[in-house]
Amino acid sequence: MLAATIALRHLGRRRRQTLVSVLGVALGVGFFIAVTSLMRGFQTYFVAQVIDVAPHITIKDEHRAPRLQPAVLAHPDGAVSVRGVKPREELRGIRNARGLIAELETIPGVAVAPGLRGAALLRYGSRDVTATIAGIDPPRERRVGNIEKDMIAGRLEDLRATANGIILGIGLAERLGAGIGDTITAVAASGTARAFKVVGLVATGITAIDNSEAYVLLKLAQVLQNRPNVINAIRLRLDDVRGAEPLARRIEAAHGWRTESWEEANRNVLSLFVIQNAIMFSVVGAILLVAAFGIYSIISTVVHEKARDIAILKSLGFTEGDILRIFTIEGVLVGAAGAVLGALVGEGLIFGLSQVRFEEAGGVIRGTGGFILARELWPYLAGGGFALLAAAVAALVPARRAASLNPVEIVRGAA
Amino acid sequence: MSPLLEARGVTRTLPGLVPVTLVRGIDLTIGRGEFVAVTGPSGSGKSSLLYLLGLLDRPTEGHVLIDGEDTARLSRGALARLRRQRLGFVFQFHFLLPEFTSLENVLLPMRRLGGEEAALRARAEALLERLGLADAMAKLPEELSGGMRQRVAVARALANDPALVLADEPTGNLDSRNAASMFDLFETLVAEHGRSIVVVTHDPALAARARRQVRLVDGRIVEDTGAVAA
Repeated sequence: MLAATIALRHLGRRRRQTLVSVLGVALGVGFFIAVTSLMRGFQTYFVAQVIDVAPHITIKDEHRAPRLQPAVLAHPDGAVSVRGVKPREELRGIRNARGLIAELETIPGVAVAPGLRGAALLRYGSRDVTATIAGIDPPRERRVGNIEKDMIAGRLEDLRATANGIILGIGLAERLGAGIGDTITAVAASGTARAFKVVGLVATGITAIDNSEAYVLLKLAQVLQNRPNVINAIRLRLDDVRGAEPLARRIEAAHGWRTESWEEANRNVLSLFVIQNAIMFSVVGAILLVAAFGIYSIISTVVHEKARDIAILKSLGFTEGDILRIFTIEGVLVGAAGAVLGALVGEGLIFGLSQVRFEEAGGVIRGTGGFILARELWPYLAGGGFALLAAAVAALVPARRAASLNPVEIVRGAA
Repeated sequence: MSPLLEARGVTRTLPGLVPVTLVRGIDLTIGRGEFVAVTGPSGSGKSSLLYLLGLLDRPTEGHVLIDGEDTARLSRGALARLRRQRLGFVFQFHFLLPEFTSLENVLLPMRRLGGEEAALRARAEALLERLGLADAMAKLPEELSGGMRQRVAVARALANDPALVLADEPTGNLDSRNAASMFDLFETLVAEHGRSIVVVTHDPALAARARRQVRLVDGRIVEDTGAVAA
């Protein structure tokens, strides 16, 4: 308490320099909070979009590693060289998909939807556009995907209500020039052609999907692809997305089919976030480092100026620990004031950023129309905590010097 | 009963390419209720001796005992505690903390020693009143005259009721009237409150007011007019 009082008086005596140091810390903390909010907001939004649009887990009709040759299986420890192997043509698709789906549906908190995806050429009038046609089962799809929510025209149920109905991605529809009620022709790689009536348009917000995906009933897709009863993708949605990766690993281990969680599917983007965060923390860390130097500077100056007072305090029976405490508290007080002020600066910056509005070229606003800002408590705590820590460390060096001052030398020097 | 303070063969040498000996082979005993003036020419080691007696410095050789306890083996923290509890310092310059009022300056050592704030405050106020500083309590050092500042410094030295007050040229920056007044105060402290005082001074007239004079030349005691009182 006494140490804090002396520390406060020292700082109060040097108001301007103290204020500059506090502002330095405040700017560091403020920018940390604002930039963190901005980055985390964007990342959370992006991940939410990815999670929202894509299934949490996709089981594909492929294997992660090629199957072992019988010779290799027969001689697991031998040096086997197999030449001239001609791959056997096999019918692609997940075997015993129904059994697998039934098994997966018993897992609590998991919704399952089968699908058959395949490339097709869509033709409307004179326009040909390559697309991916996804065969879906609407009642199950509703529980796994967000197609129903993203529909901007028509209903998902219309796929079943209308014979040969098709739902087009908005970009795909624009490229074809087709709209609701138009009849388009789909030609699959197998050569089968079939006419579909557009019953709905979907806009997920992800251009790559909106420009290339179309949805039909699973049975129609199987007919179009000439792959009766084949399913080449099983998609899962979990109540708790954090369980996606371990569940995917379990499914793949048990059944052998390549099973991707949303994290694996977007690993490159997520690793980009790590780099992005590292850059952000480095830049903001540098700001706080500069602020810490400011604190070091002021405490050093105070120690230099207060050498005589330190000597007198020691003569009055103050210990080295007392002196160390006084000057460390000074640094921490500057850090604490900077952290509090920094929280307000951060709030102000976040408010300012939230007022910024973007318009995309062509006047069409898509997405959020502005910065997406995360509102979390931890950047305030982390920024403030780091500021306090940096302040304490910055103050500790001159404080130790103060504590070790020899009072006799100072008193002699003053005499 | 052991003397209040005792120096036995105390030597202080500053290390360096050419070591400088500040005081050498000092044997000095200060009893309770003694008023000792340490005199001598400049550079004779008066202040150095005072810092050694006041445990601000450690002797290169010899021992300083307080209440019979050898301080050589004590840690820096223990020495600080002894200074806090048993000693009071007055320097040539007042060395008051400029951010604190007179009252707060006096309260500093009291607060460090601990106690109920109201009681500490009452004692500090009484001390300042006794030194004629009742009107100066709320004033900062910069608002006081030189004599008043030095009296506040004396009040601060007396704050924890020390057994021994060590004063290093306390009148060095005072005019003759204030200097005489300061010595009046020392005499009162010795006579009425039974404190021991060791004061370093250049002024022979002021030194003569002390009951005992110790004269230093070249770091050695060349004259000691008194013996241990008790």
